[in-house]
Amino acid sequence: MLGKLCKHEIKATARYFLPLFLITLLLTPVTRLTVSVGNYPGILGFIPVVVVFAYVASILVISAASVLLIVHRFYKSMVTEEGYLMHTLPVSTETHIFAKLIVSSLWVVSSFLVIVISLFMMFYTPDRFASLLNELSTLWSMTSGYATSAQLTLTIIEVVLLCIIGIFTSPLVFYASIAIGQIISKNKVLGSVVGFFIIQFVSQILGMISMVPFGYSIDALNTMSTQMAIISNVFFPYCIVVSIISGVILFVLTDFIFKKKLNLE
Amino acid sequence: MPWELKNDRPIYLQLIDQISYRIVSGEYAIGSKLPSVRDLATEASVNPNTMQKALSELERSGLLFTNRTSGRFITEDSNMIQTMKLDLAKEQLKIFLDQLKKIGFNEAEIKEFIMNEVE
Amino acid sequence: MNALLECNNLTKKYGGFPALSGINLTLERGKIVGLLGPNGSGKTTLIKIINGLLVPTEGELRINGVNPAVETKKVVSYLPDKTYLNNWMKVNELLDFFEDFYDNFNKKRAYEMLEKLHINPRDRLKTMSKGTKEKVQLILVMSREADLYVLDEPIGGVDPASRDYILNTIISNYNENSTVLISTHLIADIENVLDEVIFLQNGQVTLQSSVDDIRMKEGKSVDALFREVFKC
Repeated sequence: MLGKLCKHEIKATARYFLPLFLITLLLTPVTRLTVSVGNYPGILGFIPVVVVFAYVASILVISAASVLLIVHRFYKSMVTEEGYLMHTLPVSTETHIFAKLIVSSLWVVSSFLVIVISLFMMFYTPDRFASLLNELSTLWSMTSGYATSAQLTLTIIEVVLLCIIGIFTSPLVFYASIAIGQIISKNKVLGSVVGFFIIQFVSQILGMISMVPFGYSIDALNTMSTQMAIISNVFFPYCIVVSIISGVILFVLTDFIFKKKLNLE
Repeated sequence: MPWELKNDRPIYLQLIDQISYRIVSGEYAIGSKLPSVRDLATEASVNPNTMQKALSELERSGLLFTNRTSGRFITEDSNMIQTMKLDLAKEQLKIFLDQLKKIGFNEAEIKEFIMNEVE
Repeated sequence: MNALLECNNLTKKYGGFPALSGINLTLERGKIVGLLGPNGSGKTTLIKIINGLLVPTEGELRINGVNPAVETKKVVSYLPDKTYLNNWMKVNELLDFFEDFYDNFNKKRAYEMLEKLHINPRDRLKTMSKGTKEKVQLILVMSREADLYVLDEPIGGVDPASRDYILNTIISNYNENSTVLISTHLIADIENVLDEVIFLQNGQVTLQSSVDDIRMKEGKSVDALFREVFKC
């Protein structure tokens, strides 16, 4: 059932994302060509301005769209009239939420890839590419001075892990807000906004409380040899644990509300 | 004959009446096969269970019979249908006579009235 | 044979206000049942609980002996009183969708019904009138070979000719193992196709009886009785 839900979810969202991707990827060579022509005489000067503006806008839209569309899609399918269809399918609420998370991750990652590819197409020249590689290797040798290669590897793994967890769980804040929103108010959009602020408020407080142990262990932190060690052994693991815990809490909260407190019009 | 169902009597009783009329009038020919319950129910826009109940009653009275393999048939007993026809006619006549009496006709007047009307 | 649907002391309160109070009800298989009651009598609340869209405050409701959950959603086919299908989808995409999620969906039957009502499977829902959308929804719901069909106001928005077709669809798709529960206030239109009726008033069942019993005892139609019982 998870597979079928994902398939349907992809179909339902692809009709927004694919055209956006296509527009950006088509605008890229057009923009590059337009700009490379150089000087436009007099009144035609507006052409490169408009083209560049459109290109930048398309990139911005893609970055914003993934979040907006993911939130909108969840709202529409779970708490509006379409909810009657989704919630009466022989599928558990957990499966619904998982399917939504998987498909949103897919779109976040592919939006990122499209932007990277587009920027690459826009700015690539052999010289620039060589100097970019050069910069990277300088950066690597600089950091090697501060940390062992084991620490670096650990850090990189941690960052990647954190990104994956972040991408996968970040929509949950919005999902939980929408779930709370449909309980507290007849106006579900307004309710969701209030729900969002409630979650933010609670998580700020919990976040502060969770920092308390660090206060007691400042001495221990000071004895660690390098800053790199603090980052890879304490800071990132802490972030990973916190994002997993908050993800689980938000998931359970959303799941519980949809199971027990669903309130379709 | 279209199916006409009124609001004041149980539906299955009305179905029994209407099917009986169809049989005695020859619309459902003697010894012929009756449509299926579902088809009859759809045609009359009634619940199949109600139609089933009416048909069972008609079977009990002998007007219909079921052949285990090939379905439900109208009786082949023409005497029975004839009797049924007379019974129905008498029933109608009784209603008619009662009405006329209510209006104030006596038996002699009724006779005269009918003779005139039929001619 | 166990009952298809059972309610024991089923109660649902919204912030203290009881929408259903202590309902006891049994539905057997092979019946077409009318769920009748004025607005606010608790019909929709009951239907939502049957479909697992609401959780009872007290008491319980069982379908085939179990509380509403994934298992019961497989055997309950629900027509909400809403246009709940994705507008951007084509009819044949919706059929694929139903086939994907419901093992008991009979696609062939759905295509036959679409053809009879002259609905083009390649049309998008968006381009259709409200009445046509309702027909598509009913076709999808009736094309499932379910144990319990729950139809909330199935004939509300359609013209009389389509109403007849819909009633015929219900009659001809019905079988002795399944039960159809129809909620409506247009009683006169559907009275002849019902086996029994349930009157709901202020969240309580005030009457459950067969249509013919009502006519026999009261000498009047269910519609007339309803008007009398719920006179304003």
